[in-house]
Amino acid sequence: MSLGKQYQDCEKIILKNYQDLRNRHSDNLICSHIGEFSQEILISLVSLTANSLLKAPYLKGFKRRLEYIIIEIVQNIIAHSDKIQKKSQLAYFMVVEEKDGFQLYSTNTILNKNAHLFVDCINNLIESNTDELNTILKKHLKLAELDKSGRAGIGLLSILYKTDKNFAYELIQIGEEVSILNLSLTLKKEMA
Amino acid sequence: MIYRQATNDSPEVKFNIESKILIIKGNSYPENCSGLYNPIKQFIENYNIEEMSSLELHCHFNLLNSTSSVHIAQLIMLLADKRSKGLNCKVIWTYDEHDEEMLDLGEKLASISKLDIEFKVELDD
Repeated sequence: MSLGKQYQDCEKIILKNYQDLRNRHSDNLICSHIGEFSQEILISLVSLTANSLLKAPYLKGFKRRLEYIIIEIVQNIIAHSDKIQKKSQLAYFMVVEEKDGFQLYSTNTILNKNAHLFVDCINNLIESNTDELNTILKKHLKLAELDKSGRAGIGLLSILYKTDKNFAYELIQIGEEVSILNLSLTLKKEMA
Repeated sequence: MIYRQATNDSPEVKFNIESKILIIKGNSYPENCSGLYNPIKQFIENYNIEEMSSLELHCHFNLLNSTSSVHIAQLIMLLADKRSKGLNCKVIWTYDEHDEEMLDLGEKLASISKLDIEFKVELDD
């Protein structure tokens, strides 16, 4: 299958999944975005979430943790979502409020050659318990290393630690070169 | 001298030469964390121990991304290094009431740097 066809298939699937999710959560949607992601979009998503929860009876620390996770997920999309054939980004992000907690959905395209790195990294982290995640996080802070692009590369680790590993991922291979990566996270409510 | 106005995603940074207090306050999740923190690291690296003798770092963050936390760890390590060379330094870590994760980060930084970090809680209105 050509790369162009793989892009088209990703586009169809991502758009359909996004619309299905929006329809399913039309009554409890906090914020969502599909298409190109940027720092400006992130600031707007954080602000929308903060305004939605302004009068909600949740602990301040809980609201902040939710905003923090939004930041990490969206910056992860900005940094690691692979653009196919230099076309526009195929990704979406959504936050919905459920009875017991908040559900966050993130989807983006990823090149298969990069997907294996992600899977290895995430599987290692998922196998660790919360204390081990805490130790790994502390080790990263002590090493204080940044990659060539100035990023710490500990976003996923922090997300898993802060969500108590209520995290699931799915990798759907579309063709020889491209896959779709779906992430879903649950943050249980903490009332004031 | 160092000064930077706060934005939606980056903190206010200011240094008072008389009190020798460096304040970093606000959100910290910019797209380019190096652009924000490298000048602060440079400022601390170039800080003249003999002339200035002391430095207080006051940190009070709201939202902080993981890359910012590593940059802050680098800042704290730099301060620890300066202390070993004779600088009288102090870190005050303010966290909002109920923001246990910010307290947790401050405690991790204290543990890895061996600096005595003073913790202050800012109570809700």
